[in-house]
Amino acid sequence: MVGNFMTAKWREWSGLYFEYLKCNFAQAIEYKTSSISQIMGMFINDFLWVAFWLIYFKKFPILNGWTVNDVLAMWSIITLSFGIQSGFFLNLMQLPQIITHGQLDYYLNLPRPVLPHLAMSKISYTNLGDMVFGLAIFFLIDDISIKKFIIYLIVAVLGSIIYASFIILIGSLSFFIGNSDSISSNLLNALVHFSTYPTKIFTGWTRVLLFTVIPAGFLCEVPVELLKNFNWNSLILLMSVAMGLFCIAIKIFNIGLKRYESGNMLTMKN
Amino acid sequence: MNSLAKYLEIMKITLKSKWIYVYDTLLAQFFLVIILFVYINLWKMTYGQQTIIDGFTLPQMIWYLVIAETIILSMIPFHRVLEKEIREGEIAIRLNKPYSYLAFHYSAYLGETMLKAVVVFSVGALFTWTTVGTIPFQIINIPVLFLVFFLANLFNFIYASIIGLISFWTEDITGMFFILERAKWLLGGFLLPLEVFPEPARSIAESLPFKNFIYGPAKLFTQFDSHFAYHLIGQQLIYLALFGALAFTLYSIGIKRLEVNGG
Repeated sequence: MVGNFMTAKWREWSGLYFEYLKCNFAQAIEYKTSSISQIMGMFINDFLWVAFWLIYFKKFPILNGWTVNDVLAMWSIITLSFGIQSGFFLNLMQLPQIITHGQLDYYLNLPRPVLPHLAMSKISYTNLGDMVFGLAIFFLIDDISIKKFIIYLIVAVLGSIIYASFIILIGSLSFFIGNSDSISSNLLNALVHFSTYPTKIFTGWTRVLLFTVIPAGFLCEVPVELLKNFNWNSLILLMSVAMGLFCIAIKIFNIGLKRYESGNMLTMKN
Repeated sequence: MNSLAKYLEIMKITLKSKWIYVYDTLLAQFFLVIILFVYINLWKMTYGQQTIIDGFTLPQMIWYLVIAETIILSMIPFHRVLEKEIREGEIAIRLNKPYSYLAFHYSAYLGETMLKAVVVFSVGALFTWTTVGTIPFQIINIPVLFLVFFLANLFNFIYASIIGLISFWTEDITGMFFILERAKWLLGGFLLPLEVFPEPARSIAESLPFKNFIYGPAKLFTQFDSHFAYHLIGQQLIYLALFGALAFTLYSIGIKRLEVNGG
């Protein structure tokens, strides 16, 4: 009985998501040159940072135990994680504006739970550039194997859940403090920036912060260590952090949603 | 109104209008503080017990990055403005006004980027000063440093104009922008001084114009040398003339292709 219900729900949601995928794909195809240009742009942007690290490690081969191979693994993981999150659930990044401008009305009026519907309603094909880059970089890492590839995919998906949870949390600030656009984007930039550097360069309280308030350590250091030396304890820790953060984010969003006031603004949704 | 006065007026108006949002600009520098904080940790770890790497002490390395960040972060995405105006035909409204199209935009660009540069440098300098300390600096060098920075700013405008003017020929310039802009960042010494580059990357970077507009000003600020300054200004003027001519040519050819419909 429960199984049938779950299957029906899964079909319903996947059907809806597939429709959104089709709509967004049609939009991307309409502006083909623009879409390809933006995918390339993402790819090149990521390449710049990897080039920086290649130059750096050519000069300084070891950074507190990390080598160029570890940094390539880190970039491979974070670009795939971020690509999954921003590619398939782009709308989450616009949560502060959606809340502040009263645009949640659209989702509240429909017979679907607000947050998942909002998250899936905008898909960015341009962020495919990040995903493609991440996958391409993975194949440059030494000693790759099928087992490592599976671990890589698992940690990247867990990373995308951490990114999404953090984005929901900071976006939900708008329910409590009004327009949090500026503070949210600053915090997201902080997370993204910290997660693109080995957290091993930090010590003391900064390191504590990077494994708590701004969970960058769980996006780069833990996944890279898992890829190097897999152990179940670290994987369970990473899964717990991702799921725990996700549950907290949903809880905070739902608490905030009760405080939401309609915008009374008539808008067209594309 | 003589021609220079009207452009100065455009610059002043832009400066005034952007001044209203100066606190927003200041708050946005939270990200700069994070960037510098990460760099300081990275370089402290890299230096370890060493006091000097490739001619740079740790404070010099961080101040180098402050200047490089000031040059890059004070820029505005001007190529986007050009792209939008060309694609949407807004350029037609500007062409019938008694000013040069590119000079008008440069005046506005200068007004906005000057304000941003002051804010970025102030925040970066304050943070760096409190974390890694100061470096030897002489006030007498300020006019030369200001000139070098001004020329770098002008180059950034011309470079962004060239990218934006490509919109006369293509539908979207995002990919082109990323290729050309990131090449400038990487090979111009935005993330690392050229001394740190291994061969052949160093030789490639040395042979390109970008080093004169990021690496040069940043190196001059941290290790002022009058011979290097004269050489740098000479190089900057040569490349400004070349890139300026290219921008003007692209504009002259592109404007003839322009077709604007509407009412």
